[in-house]
Amino acid sequence: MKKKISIMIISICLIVSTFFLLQNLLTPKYISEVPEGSLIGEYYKEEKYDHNVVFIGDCEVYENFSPITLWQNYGIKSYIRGSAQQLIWQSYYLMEETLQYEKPDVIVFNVLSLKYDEPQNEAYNRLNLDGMKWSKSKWNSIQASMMEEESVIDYIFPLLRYHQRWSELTSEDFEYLFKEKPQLSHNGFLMRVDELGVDTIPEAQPLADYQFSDNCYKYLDKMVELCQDNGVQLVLIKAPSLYPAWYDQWDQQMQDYAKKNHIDYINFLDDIEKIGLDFQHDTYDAGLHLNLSGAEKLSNYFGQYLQDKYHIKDSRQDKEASVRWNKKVKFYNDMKEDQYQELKKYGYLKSYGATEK
Amino acid sequence: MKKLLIVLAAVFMLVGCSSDSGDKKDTSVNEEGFVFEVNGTAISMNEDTSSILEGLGKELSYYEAKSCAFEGMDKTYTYADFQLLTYPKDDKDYVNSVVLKSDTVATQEGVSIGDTKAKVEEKYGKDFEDKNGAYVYTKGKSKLEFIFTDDTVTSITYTAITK
Repeated sequence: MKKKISIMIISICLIVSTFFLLQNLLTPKYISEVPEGSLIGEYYKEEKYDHNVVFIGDCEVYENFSPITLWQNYGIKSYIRGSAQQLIWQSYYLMEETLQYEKPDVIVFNVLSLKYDEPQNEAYNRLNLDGMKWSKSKWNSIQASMMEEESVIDYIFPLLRYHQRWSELTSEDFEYLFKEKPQLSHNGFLMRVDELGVDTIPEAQPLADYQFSDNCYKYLDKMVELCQDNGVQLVLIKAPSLYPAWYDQWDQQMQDYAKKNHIDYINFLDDIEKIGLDFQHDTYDAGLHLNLSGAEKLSNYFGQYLQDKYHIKDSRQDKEASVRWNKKVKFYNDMKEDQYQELKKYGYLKSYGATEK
Repeated sequence: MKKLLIVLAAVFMLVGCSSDSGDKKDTSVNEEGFVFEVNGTAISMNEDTSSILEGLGKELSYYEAKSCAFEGMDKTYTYADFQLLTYPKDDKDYVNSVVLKSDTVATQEGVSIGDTKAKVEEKYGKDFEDKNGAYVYTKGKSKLEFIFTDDTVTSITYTAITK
């Protein structure tokens, strides 16, 4: 009898271990390919949750703002909780989760995602949700995000989603089977030093309905309430990306909403000259996202605004914070140097997700 | 030991047979959706663009945007009278939408920018979704949208249904 029980226990342990081993192996690592998939998870590696400013939103935050510049020029400690095509309900639940870790002075939310009324794509959902630690916020975000064909069990056991990746496995999948993944972002900022200037921007398509949906407004209202309840200033922004189109009708709605709720809304598209952006040199993909030079200019401009308007404390004299942030600055400078060298050697950023030109 | 092997096999089967929620985007296609035809080139939604582009000749301008986090680019080809937008999948580009820009081109059923709402109803019927005054018709894996200003067509857009 004892022998049978022992065999059963060993069997169960073996099955469970095999399951989780396979899960670790087959789940994408998001390092060389689609590094955006690592962004949400990197937040949990922070040594200390004492950010003055937290950015939340889609690629228009994690590609366009540099927390290192905010630190170097203003002593502002910030973090970007951004992910690819992050939808507004995902942003709300990320905000809710972030407030469990810390209470920043300001939360900045990029409003482009209001254009999406419903879940768009299962693969983007995974980029936004897989990296979150399990919590009530993650659970609710999954429920709000799932496409018709998705199942919550696939989120609980990612192996069920990724079991077909056998043929796509790379050396990275084995290398990081047990090993911790390398840091890819700079407090959520995904650096790109290459340039691809704007030649032409496609004409914006007319829309039948420019009104943002009730569902989007519901989550925006929830954000306002959440920030008020936590004593955090919410700032709405539209990053200065030239494409996709940001319609005047959308802009007006945001202006009206901000006024009604006594919060700030900044459309950086109106401030391109003041920021000093040159779209021949400050973008790496013809106007969608800023490159490092553009992100540093925008961050410098916004940092001044944050300091003037919200009197964010300059922490550069704080010894502990300085030691911590100087490590981040070094990592940033090292990556910058590495990217320039790679650009010189290959003509494109081979190991940073760029495609050969 | 035998039992253990059976259980292990069961785990692998569970993993192997579970629902496939990955890479589901259906690009298989047209299933008799709306087709836009210009200069003898037929453009169906979700269709591989390689032969279409050859037929259309040189575009006036071209724009490509990184498909957010995925390998490949969303591309916009602008021609004199319309815009063709594509999306990437598996190293190929597929038709995402076609936007008509002038009254010198028409839908296969004969509606152009500048036509009346009554003509749209006559050609396409009344089985449409009313989207804030715009008419949206669905056929196969495609949608055709007419936007009006004072009962006159001001915009015509074909869109692929990719979900």
